[in-house]
Amino acid sequence: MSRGLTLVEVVIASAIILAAVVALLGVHSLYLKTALENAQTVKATYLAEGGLEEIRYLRDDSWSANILNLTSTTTYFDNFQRTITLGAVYRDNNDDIISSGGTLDPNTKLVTAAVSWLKAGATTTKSISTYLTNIYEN
Amino acid sequence: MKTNLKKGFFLIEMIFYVVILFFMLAIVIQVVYSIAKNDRIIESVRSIENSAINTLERVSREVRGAESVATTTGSLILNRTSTTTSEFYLSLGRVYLKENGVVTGALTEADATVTSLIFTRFATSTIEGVRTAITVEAGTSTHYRVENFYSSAVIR
Repeated sequence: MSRGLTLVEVVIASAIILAAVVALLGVHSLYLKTALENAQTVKATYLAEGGLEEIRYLRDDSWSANILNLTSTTTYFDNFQRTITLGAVYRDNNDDIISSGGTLDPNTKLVTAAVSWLKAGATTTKSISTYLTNIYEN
Repeated sequence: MKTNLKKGFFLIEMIFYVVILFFMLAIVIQVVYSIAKNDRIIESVRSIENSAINTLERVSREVRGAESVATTTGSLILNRTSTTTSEFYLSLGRVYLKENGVVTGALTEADATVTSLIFTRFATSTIEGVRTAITVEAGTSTHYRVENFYSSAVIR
């Protein structure tokens, strides 16, 4: 009696195949989005790294004139906003750096370079940080 | 009579199947076409990124290890020691590295073009650094991409 597939069967089969294709397409679109956003991440990384280098330059020039009283600086590059923050550093009795309490070490700063940009309507921030010390006593 | 009715119904079903298959084929062709197009875009982006990373990373490392900056006009020449140098320069859209006057090779990829490479020296009497700005482009028409990258490095 069977004459092959009925209409309902064909509709169901094509629906399943389409669902699979759409799912694969979703994966591909995620891959594409990630690949295209990568360029922004690379740019942000170099801006942040460059920011730390520039603060190191100011440190090498003069700690007391450039670093001691500097708290933050913000610059803009194309669609990126870069903020460099210099945080106070505290040490305990063993001269180890601690997050709270202890005594203020005026010759050490926690330098953080944060780069923000607009990604898919929301702001993304990448930041790197390092400790800088007054090694040249200037 | 009965056979005729059955035949008519079969034809309508056939039309349904053909239409369904036609739509599925159209969708699949669309998907394959857009994937092929996107792959070319990704290829452009990737060669831009690789070129920029190679150049900026090498420049940063060379600057950090250098003794002084000899020149930043046109090309970047660094004195590694009093007798050795390294030079970064732009030639026909690609960035090349010369060590002690000998070309060691291109830092950027063949399918990417560097349209601008600007070195800026910033210095005081005791310390100097180099800021690098590089513009790289790749691809044509719909998959054309161009990106600017910036970084700085200070002599240690």
